[in-house]
Amino acid sequence: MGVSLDVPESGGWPCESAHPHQDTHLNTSRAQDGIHDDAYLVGLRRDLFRFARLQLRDEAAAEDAVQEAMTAAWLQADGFAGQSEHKTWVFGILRHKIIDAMRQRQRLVNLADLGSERDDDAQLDALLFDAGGHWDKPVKPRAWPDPQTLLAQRQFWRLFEACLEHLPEQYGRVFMAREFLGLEMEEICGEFEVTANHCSVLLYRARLRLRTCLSEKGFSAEDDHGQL
Amino acid sequence: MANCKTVSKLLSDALDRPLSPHEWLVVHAHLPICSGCRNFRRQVQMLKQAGDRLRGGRLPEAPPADD
Ligand SMILES: [Zn+2]
Repeated sequence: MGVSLDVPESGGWPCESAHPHQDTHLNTSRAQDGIHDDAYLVGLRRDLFRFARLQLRDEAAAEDAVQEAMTAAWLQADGFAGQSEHKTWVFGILRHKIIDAMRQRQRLVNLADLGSERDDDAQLDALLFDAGGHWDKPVKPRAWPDPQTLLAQRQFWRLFEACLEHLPEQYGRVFMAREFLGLEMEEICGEFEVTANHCSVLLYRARLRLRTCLSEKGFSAEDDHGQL
Repeated sequence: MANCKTVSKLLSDALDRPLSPHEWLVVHAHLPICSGCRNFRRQVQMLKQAGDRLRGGRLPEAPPADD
């Protein structure tokens, strides 16, 4: 079925950014809080590339988008309070580059043609829900650890990336357009040329698969009572 | 009564659009009696939070707390 249990252990996630270090060879007048710090830039490029590659699923297109974002960032790197603010800004540029790249190739992927995913969806539903449509007891969603705790863990991001890569491409792209790029539903339906209803189904299927994949990989707290 | 399949779809929809009054009632009649759907809701909300962080490049600082 589509939700795999494999966890590739290779590769890290953006949070493994290099430690900022004191560079003595940089022009100190430009090296405000290390925006021109080599280690920072290497880490930034790697983080941008992972984000773009996940979204575009195409190494060359991801590399192009990152190169454009980095170039823009290089040209306007002054005036930021620090690395964190700069990084947020560069990610904003990359977001626009990725949306442009998606627009250019939107007709290459026919989202309406889900084919074999329909079978996988039926199998997943049969696994998760009983005949009455209620969660089947053994796989009923259990509480995950506190979100703030979870999001601060590198392990979470590794598993998240692994689960994302196991999503069928159509689901992954719609999910990421919504949650990573932050596009509104109207924009997404327009980009992918699907109806609002179909769009919402794609998002639901993507979320259901992701939370199931993450749960299978061991995210559960001892308390399974949930909270209101 | 609505089942979990229906309610979980509405919980996903609620992240993308306002629910209608009827949908809202369906969800809120179900949640108090179903821990599975309550947990599902928190999980999909967390997926959204993860996306927000990723978009801003706001990821855990090194060294991380867990490993
Ligand atoms: Zn339920």
